[in-house]
Amino acid sequence: MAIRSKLKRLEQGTRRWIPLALPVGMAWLLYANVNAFCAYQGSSPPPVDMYDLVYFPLKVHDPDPPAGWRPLGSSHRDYYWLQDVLRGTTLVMPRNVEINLGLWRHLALVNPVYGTHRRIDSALAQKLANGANFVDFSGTNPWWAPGRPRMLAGRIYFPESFESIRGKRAYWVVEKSRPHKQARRRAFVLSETLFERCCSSPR
Amino acid sequence: MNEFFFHVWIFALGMSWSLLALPQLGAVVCCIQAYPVGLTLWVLVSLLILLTGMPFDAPTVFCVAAAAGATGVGLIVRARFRRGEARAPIWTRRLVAQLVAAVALFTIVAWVATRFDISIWTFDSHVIVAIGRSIAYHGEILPEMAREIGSRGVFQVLIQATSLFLDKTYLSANPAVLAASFVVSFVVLGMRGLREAGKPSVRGIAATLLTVAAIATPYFFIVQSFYIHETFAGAVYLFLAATGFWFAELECEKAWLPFAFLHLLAFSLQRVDGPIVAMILLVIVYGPSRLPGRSIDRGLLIFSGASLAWFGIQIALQGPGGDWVLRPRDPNLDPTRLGVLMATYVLATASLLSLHHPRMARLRHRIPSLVLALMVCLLAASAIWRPQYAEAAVAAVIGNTASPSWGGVWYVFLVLGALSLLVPKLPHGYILAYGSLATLLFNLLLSLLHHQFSVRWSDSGNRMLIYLIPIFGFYLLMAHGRALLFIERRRRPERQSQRLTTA
Repeated sequence: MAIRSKLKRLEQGTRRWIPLALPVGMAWLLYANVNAFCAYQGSSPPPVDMYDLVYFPLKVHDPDPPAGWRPLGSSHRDYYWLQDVLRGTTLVMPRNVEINLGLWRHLALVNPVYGTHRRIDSALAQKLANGANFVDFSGTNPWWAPGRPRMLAGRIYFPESFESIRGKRAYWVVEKSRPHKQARRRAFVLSETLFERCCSSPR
Repeated sequence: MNEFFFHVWIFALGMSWSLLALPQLGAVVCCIQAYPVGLTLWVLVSLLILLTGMPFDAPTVFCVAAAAGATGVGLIVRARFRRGEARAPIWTRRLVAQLVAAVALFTIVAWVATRFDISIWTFDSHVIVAIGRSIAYHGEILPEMAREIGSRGVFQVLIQATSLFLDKTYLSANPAVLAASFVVSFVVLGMRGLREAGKPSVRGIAATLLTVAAIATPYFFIVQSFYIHETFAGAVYLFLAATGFWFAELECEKAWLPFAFLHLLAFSLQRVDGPIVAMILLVIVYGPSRLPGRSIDRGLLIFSGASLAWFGIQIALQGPGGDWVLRPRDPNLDPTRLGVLMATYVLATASLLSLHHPRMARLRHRIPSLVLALMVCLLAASAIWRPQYAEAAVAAVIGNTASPSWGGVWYVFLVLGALSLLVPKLPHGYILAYGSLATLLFNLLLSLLHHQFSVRWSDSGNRMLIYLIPIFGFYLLMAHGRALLFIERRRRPERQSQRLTTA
């Protein structure tokens, strides 16, 4: 009996302290969260699992870009910058190299029109398969409507050789294989030089 | 109109309906419901216009939404006349102060959120924006888009469709404003749940603020607060629905129910898994409910009817075959699965309504436990059926939850959840606790059936874990907080005296 009453008292005593677990637990959690936030935001490279978070706005985890390179990847705004540059231009796409349609999809998906990216994808696939090297989007794009913002209207070229832009393949191989996250991140660093070579003024 | 004014417009739209519950719930609760309610009304109005063949353009959508808002205001006035309060002063000083404070706070939040665009994007975000803008561009839901909606949910898509009306490329501030709305809602509801003798205590406020600061600051939670996606919005709506049901039971106040059902409907429109989780929560809530049968039955029938109608419309819109545009596989909700879902909804609704029979009285209180037991059995059966999937799913869940991106939230939840068994039982706590557990079990079940979860931040199962944080965090706050403030202990003698008086 004595042991039982002792146990009961002990249990009651413990139970009295249990509700304090909430403030203690939450305070610890807050501390852990602040630490984790500092670790993710402060360290370079960022810890383990989030390093492929290429769109993260608070800090871009890309390494310092080489001179002449414009870092892309902090957010979608870079896509729009890229789109602004691409609009009305002629794009040159290499043939016989790994082309990641995902990037084009990304670029085109921000257009208001559902079909645009499909046109680009199918046009790319078709042209690559047939050996042709040119597709014109300007003028014939049925989705173009005056006043509609952010349309990609231009030409995409497929040159016979990739010699002119050799060594800059990372840009085009973006997201080709998801596990290679470093490659994926590098893909968002766009070379101005490459860009000049790939894009010429509208004809 | 720029995006800032759009969010203010949504807030006003929501307010025009949420103030219907002003006499019962008070101005503060009505204000915190305004933005989520406004978003849901906007989506429902958009859907109505799209499905009735009206021109889906800016003037039509804004006019119909304005008409919906005017209807809400008309109902408020009518309710005042019915209650005989037509001549009573509307604008008391306290009410005006609360409304002005709420509007000012919302305006500041919306302005900051629209001023600094730090939204986070992945491929899914592009898809959501693309489908939404395409629907707005074409003015209809083409079969290709209907199939995409079968994999994405329609809520965020229609929110983003508005971007074309506003001549913006996308709406960037929606997740951030919703996140701020969630934080304020959690604080207000937490303080309401921890009120002592009708007034919030300092300790209650401190516990609420500490809890919301802790659960809203994991790195991945912050990331999702700016992420253009459905999952975080789903978590917010699920939280609002579950707490709505809980407060309705706790306060025996049926004015919470329209909010709860509306939020549940909004949650089920967010993602393809939404309707199933929503029905599981509804079954858990409905079984032991002590609310007047008519009010909860009406909500159940409207919710089920609206969901069934939407499933049917999706089947009709998807049509047979076709060109898969964004993903080279079938939608998660193809016509066959939608048919199964419709049959499940009909069966579940009929079963719930049959619980009114006197013979079912005993069964009603066991339903939450039975639901959990059923889900555990299903999980066990799936694990036996596909052991390699089970292994991968468990590894993925453990790997994801152990990630520092969650900041240790799951460890704290585990410990506090276990300790909550030792504190006085939270009245109607099954809604929050069992609702969270059922969501987790469903998450695991999905991974067993599809084998699609993996250890990475962008994993669907990892993102879905955020469903649990608001609800279970609120449960822990209520269970431990009420024990900390001795609320249950004080209520017990009150109940005893009430019983004696009654006798």
